[in-house]
Amino acid sequence: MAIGINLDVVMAQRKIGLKELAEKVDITMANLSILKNNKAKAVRFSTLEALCRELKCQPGDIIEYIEEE
Amino acid sequence: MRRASLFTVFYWLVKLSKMFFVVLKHSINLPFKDKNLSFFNKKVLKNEIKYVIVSKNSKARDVMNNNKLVDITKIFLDIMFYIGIITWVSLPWSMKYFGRIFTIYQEFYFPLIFVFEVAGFLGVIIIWKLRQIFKTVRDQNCFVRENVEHLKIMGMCSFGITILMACRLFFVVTPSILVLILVFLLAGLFSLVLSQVFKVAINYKEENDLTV
Repeated sequence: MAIGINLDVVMAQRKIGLKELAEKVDITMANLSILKNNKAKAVRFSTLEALCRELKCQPGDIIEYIEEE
Repeated sequence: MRRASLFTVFYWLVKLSKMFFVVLKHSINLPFKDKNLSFFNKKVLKNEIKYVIVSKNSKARDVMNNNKLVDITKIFLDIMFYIGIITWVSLPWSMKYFGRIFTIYQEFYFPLIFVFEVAGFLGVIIIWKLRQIFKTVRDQNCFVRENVEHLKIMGMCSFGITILMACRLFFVVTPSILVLILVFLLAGLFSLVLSQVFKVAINYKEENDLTV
């Protein structure tokens, strides 16, 4: 899809695991893995806010637009 | 006369024994739940995401199992399926039996046997697909891509039965044949419409499930 998720990059930078992040953000591990593997169809603003709060980053660090040719 | 009564006795004996075993199977709940568990384990090995979506509804699944209507529907579907197979297999003999009452079955025995055998086969396929759909409904995971295919096949089989019943009009014109044509035409249209509805529902469900 044209929207890429760089969650794994940010997680590696902050050195936080999937399980820990899921507990902090209050979503299931399965949902977080769906987001990480680019299988998600939509992200709620509440989830995005929680992610940015926990990872101390901007939405643009997690989500990026990849131009398709 | 003796051969006919033996046939009816045998027919009813098989019917009652099948019903008895079906009721027996449903009175024991534990094996049924184990069957569901192995189904979910297979899903885990295959696709993690699908497993997530199914296990989300595990609480609702237990509620569904206690529902009487679901049990009754399952029993009915099983009974209809097995009786349908028995009737289809015993078609040549039952046609000979009916030929004594309605001479039309004796006159055109082989063409009518052919029509009824194919129509019976399509009917059994319809019930088989319906049972498969109901299995997914019981597991609270009924909006899957396979159900769209199943409903489409059900619709096509109904249309096939319509055409076959229309062929019977060449032999004898009775109002029951016209009613059957109309009923199966309606059933086929209903199944096709329902398959399109399922497609839309699956899109909604997928979008909802994949919203993080």
